[in-house]
Amino acid sequence: MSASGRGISSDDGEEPQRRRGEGVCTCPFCGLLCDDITAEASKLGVVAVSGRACELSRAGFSRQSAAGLDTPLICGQPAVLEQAVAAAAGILHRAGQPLIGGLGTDVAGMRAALELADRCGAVVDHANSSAKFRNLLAFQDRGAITTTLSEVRNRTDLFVVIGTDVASRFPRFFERVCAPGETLFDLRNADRRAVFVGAEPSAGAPPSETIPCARQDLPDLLSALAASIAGAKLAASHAGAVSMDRIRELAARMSAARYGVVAWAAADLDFPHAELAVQAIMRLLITLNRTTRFSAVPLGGNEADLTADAVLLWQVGFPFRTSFASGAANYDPYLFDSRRMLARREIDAVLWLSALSDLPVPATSDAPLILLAGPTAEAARRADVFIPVGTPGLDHAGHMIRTDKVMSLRLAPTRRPQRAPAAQILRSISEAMKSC
Amino acid sequence: MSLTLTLKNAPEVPLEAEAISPERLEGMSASQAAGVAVLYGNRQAQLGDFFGIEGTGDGELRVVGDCGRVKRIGAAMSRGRLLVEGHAGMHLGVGMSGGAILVKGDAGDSVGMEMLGGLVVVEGNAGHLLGSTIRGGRVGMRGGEIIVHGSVGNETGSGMRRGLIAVGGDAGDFTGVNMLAGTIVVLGHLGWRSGAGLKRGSIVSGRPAEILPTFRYACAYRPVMLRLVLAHLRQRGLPVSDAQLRGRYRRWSGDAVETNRGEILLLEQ
Repeated sequence: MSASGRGISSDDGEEPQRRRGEGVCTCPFCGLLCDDITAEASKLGVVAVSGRACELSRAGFSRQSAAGLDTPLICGQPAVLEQAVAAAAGILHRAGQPLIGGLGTDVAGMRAALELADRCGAVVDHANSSAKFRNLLAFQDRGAITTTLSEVRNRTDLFVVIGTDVASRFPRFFERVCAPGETLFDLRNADRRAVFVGAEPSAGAPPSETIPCARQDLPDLLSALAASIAGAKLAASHAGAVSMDRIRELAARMSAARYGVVAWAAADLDFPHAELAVQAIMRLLITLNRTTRFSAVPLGGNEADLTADAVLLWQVGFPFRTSFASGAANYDPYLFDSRRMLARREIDAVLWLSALSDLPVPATSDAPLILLAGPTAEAARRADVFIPVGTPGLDHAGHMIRTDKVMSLRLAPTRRPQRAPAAQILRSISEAMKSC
Repeated sequence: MSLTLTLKNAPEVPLEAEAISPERLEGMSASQAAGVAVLYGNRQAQLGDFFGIEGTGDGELRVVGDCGRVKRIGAAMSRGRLLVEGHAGMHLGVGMSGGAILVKGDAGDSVGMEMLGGLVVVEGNAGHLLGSTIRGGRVGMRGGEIIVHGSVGNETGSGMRRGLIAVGGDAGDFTGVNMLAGTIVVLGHLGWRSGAGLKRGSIVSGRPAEILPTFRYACAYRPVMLRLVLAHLRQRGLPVSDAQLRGRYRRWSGDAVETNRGEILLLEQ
């Protein structure tokens, strides 16, 4: 297999790759995985999307199809792929506590990453895990009541959005769930409403009102809201600098909804102990569902974090921050927090995987870095080993998991492949480790 | 002479050493103890690769050196005495049901996680999640005592069901989060959002603290129970002042998002 990508097979051998000049494709650049995008590749392989594509989609296709480094590097010097793979295998073989991180890749890439983690006894953690654990820790303690985008589209009459500018991370969310031509149960878009708590109304949202609240005060407000919904009489006059009268009004509106959703993006709840806010959301949903229908829509999936999470769950039963050091999967969200481990110099080798964007590589101090990323990766020249990898949905086929975690969408290539899939490179490294 | 482990090679990556427990090494000679398996990163190693070992295991164990990267010391122990003359790493005494651990230095995160009984004393500071539950578990510490002379981090006593946690210094945020019962005493300051999700149990502080809006002020009084607890802690060596021992405490009931049967007691200033 050459570094230029000729002779590359598809990610899992199921279907030969085909070039798509024009036509509908699926966008991999946010968790919505919109499958109604029109793509066109130039002769140089630069892909432009049009039609319904949002700004994130246009930027993603443009960035990942731009010209850049297409040759592997060892310590910044050009190398052939076989040498780079062997060098990477050697680093991982010698490591006593390696980390496989980033994990911006598709299902096949994540499966190969886990195979490699198992072989080299690595800790596995996603670049977005700090954000994801704001949800996961609360879900593990309390459970969660969630719903699908289809249910939201067909039933939701009240959106309560917490601390999130939905449009900046998921630009087409409201377009896709609030503006369908028809719904299954004759819900009219004119009847939908939204309340934005601690955030400004997003573009495309139904008629909205705003409850201003500083993000770090959201846990207090949401706890008071949960207590109000449960009928508790609180002595406090305010919670999160919002009057209790206002909170009680919101509680009444939520109780009167026929099918409400609470939506948020964990990445935006970037304040200490945000999991308390999520825990409060889960509490109020439990109470609301005694008399009406209300569900959570935790928006995510960007940088394939839900894809990575799903593969981990079905393969080992655990989420991120799982270690394979003992030969079995061992999960501990504190012990195997990669940021904590790196800060305390407990990691002695890093393999960073970023096939969808240029995920910032964490400071690794003196731990060797193996970088599998796109051609414009900022850290390519300072990595000990850099191997360019393809982008799913651009260079090769693949699958990713949508934000509501019930759909796995197929991605087809939109141009002639210029780089090998991450899955292929990872398997090559695994294979090379056998002879270390 | 009891068994003494002296750190000779500091681990570069974490060392998981639940074998360092009085009962696990009981009856072993120094050479036998040196051959006990430990997990070093992703490799099997032996205790003797990291520690010089003297004496015989007789139910008392002494560990000397900065063991900040040595994890799971005293895990699941049910009897015996363990003295760490230095620092101890994460998961000290996790799941222990008896015996006593004394750390002369600091301890890492997750001290006494899901502990069932026994005594842990840390003369320095401890990290986050002291006496807490493992994520996904409903119940944390179920018995025993954890005494920290210094300060502790966040989520102390998370999911605690029974037992006593006492802190001579300050506590971080979320002290007693999702607590089911038991008693947490912090002689210094409490951090943010103490008692969030409290079902029952008592959280006591000798300083003013910010109270969640889902708690309701009840009264000021001198709880008899508290005087007994504080006298006991004074005997354990914590600097309980006469004002703390005899003073009035303002009581808040909560958390209203749960059963409202818990209490936060703050010394009246």
